[in-house]
Amino acid sequence: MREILEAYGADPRRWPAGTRLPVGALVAEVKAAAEADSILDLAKAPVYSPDAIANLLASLPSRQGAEVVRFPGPRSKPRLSWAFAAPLAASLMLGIYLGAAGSVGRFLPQDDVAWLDDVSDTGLEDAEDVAEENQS
Amino acid sequence: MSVAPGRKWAGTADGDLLASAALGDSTAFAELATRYYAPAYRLAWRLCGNQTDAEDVAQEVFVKLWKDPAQVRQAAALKGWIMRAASNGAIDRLRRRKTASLDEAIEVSDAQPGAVTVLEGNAASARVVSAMAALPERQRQALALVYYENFGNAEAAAIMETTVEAIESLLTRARKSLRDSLSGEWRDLLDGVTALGK
Repeated sequence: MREILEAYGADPRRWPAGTRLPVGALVAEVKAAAEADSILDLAKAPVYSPDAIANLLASLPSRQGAEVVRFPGPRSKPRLSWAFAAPLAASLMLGIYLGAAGSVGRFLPQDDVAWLDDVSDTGLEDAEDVAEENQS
Repeated sequence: MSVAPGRKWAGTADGDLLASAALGDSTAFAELATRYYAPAYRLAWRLCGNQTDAEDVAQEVFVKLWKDPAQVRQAAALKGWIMRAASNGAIDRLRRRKTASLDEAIEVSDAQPGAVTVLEGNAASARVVSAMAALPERQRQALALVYYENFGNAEAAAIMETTVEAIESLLTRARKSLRDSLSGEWRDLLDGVTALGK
């Protein structure tokens, strides 16, 4: 097409006979499309209100609105109540005192002491007697 | 909130403006609105057919953006995001108001080349707008994006969440439908174009 236009110009009557129909049809298509474009150009959108953008900006919600979630503040350290701490401290002091005085056994049940004595009664002292009885 | 973009943001990239807006800088947001309100409004107008709805839709788009700028995943695609939001908002509104009056649909530009020409131009413009309003929604959307807002077919396809082939098909059908519906007055319309100096 470019060669035809460069060689013969825009008037189809000067174009070679064999090219007139296809090139002419293409030119007609381009012309029709250009006409359609110019008709579409008629449908311009109206200009928006002069204060439309100002109204928009004025209508923006504050960023401090509901969308903003407040983070919780730093958590304070839990305070030890004296009512809770005093008995703990007293029992600790008592334990240290008793341990240092060596008097823990006085506070243990007597049954336990007896059971400890029984531990020495293992029966090993009778082993030789038992062996002699068996031989006899 | 009353803010003006000022000149400090002129030439700033969309991404930087969006980032500043996300931190609460309303002047950065105002610059974004100055840049993109008009195309959002025009697209909404082509879909809704009236100025009031179009302004409402455009406003809703920007309020939505202000509330959550992180919705735009890629700052480079901001305009596309705005156009998609405007398009969706307009279509939602259109479906709610199927009975929009033709009087509103034929509002035209107030360019003033001369009293008589204005009347002729407005009539011609109103006729074309009316024919466009009769097109199916998707055809109008494709025409508005590619023809009036100069988006490439790939960009338009992304905005409309469809394929390039579908966009081409929609455009072809839209132009053919317009030509068919305006065939009786095609020559008069072309004369009107000439009279308006186009």
